[in-house]
Amino acid sequence: MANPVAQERFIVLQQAAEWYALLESGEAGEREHVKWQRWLAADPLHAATWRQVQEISGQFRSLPQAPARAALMTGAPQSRRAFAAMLVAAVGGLALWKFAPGMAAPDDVVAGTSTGYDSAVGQLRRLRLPDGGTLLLDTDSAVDIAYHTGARRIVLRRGRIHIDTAPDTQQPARPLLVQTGQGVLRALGTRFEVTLLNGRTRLRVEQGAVEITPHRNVARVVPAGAGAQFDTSTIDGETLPAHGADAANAAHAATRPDDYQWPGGSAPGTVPPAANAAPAWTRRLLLADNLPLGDFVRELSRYRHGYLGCAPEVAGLRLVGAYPLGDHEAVFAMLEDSLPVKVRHILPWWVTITAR
Amino acid sequence: MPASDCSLSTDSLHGDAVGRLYGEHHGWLLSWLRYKLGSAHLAADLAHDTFVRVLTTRAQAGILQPRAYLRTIAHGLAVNYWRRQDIERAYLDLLATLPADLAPSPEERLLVLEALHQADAMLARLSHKARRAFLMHQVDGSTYAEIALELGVSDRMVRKYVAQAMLQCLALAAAD
Repeated sequence: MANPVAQERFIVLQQAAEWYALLESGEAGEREHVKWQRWLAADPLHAATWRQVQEISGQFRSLPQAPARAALMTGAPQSRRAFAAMLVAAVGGLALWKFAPGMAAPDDVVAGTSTGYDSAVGQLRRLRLPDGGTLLLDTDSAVDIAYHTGARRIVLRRGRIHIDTAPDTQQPARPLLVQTGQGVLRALGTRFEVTLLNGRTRLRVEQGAVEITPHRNVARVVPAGAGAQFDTSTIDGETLPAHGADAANAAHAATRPDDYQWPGGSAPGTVPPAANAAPAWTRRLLLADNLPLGDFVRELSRYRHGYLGCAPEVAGLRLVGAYPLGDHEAVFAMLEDSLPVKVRHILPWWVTITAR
Repeated sequence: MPASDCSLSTDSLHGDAVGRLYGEHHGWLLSWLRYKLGSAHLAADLAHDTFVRVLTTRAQAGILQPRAYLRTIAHGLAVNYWRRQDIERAYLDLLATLPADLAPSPEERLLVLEALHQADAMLARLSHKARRAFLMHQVDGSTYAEIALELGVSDRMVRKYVAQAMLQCLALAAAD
């Protein structure tokens, strides 16, 4: 520390680390933010160091969650083996998968007879059901899973799930039921997606069929390649859009549940994915097929903390493409490349998209 | 260019010094490591790595106690080795619990392991609690309150831990 330049540099590092710890606490108020902004602007070295802070934080955030827990967060080394086994039963999932984007996420194995599971904002979580089926939780979603003598029951509390069913391991086979506030869905050997909207449930069937029974109505079967929305009494059939329209989903439909038209048609040169393919979010992609930027931004913001908005003058711009849900900086760069827009990081958690 | 001539000659001097160090102490280091580690194979690897490290370190002009110096380096490498082993074992244990069709490919495993080793090295000198607090926040997205509860410390302390961890990472990055 004898070198005054090094010491000065070290003080900046210290300041940056302290700002980071304060801002991450969630306790910083307006005044602190103004002060922090002033600090950032005071010296190019401050801004450069802050970029480094974000890079480091991003590096840790993108560690695959279950391996990071097993290998880095264990207590005493001798307890590691037990801990690794335990965490597979209790936790896991997939953080932002920067280092190995295509890698299969370690599953959480649903072991108990009745347990709640949820996913964080931005997380895609894969659960292995006791019968060997797979349940994927989209960002910010929650389910209760209860496998009992009479039924395999999944209660969707929040968000969106995708289920790939397996034949029951018990005889006689128990029905697999998904319950929402509006009714019960019964899987008939199948792969399907269920989304909670505002007071409604939306179903999309990829394979097999699903029988819907609204709380106050009779059952109806929805076949593969079709979808439906229902509340407690009525069911509206839906033609399944190509999954290119995946972006127009939960958050979006929640704002205009009834009159929304799926963006039709695809851009020249692109092949619309089959309606019976798994939705793009299960592959951590956000597909836009001629989607207005405003809708795209609303969907993307479901996958991140903080505020993400776009200026009215650019909200109508249309975009086409596949965007990685796990790497928002890459998405922003892609937007800036393909549209006349500028992505402004006003604060780390406050991003607005404006005309260039 | 005079400057590069100069550094070249320093390098070869340096190489000579290492050669002498190797000739006089390699046998001793090897037996010390074998005794410590209980494996001739591993001892040979680490002895080799120790001299590679000496060769790539510039601050060896006059080593007064060569054996203490070599032992320090070798010890650091051994700790590092065991640490990496622990991480690999923990990751493999985790993979072993996965059904075969979900197991990642060897390439993917390497990528994940590399990321884990890198992260581990960045947090190497932190206290156990600071390291845990930082990882809980970054990897799990736990709030300071949740971390405080888990670690039995105050929210304020959690903030300190997070700052410490970030500072260490920043300092390491700056030293590169």
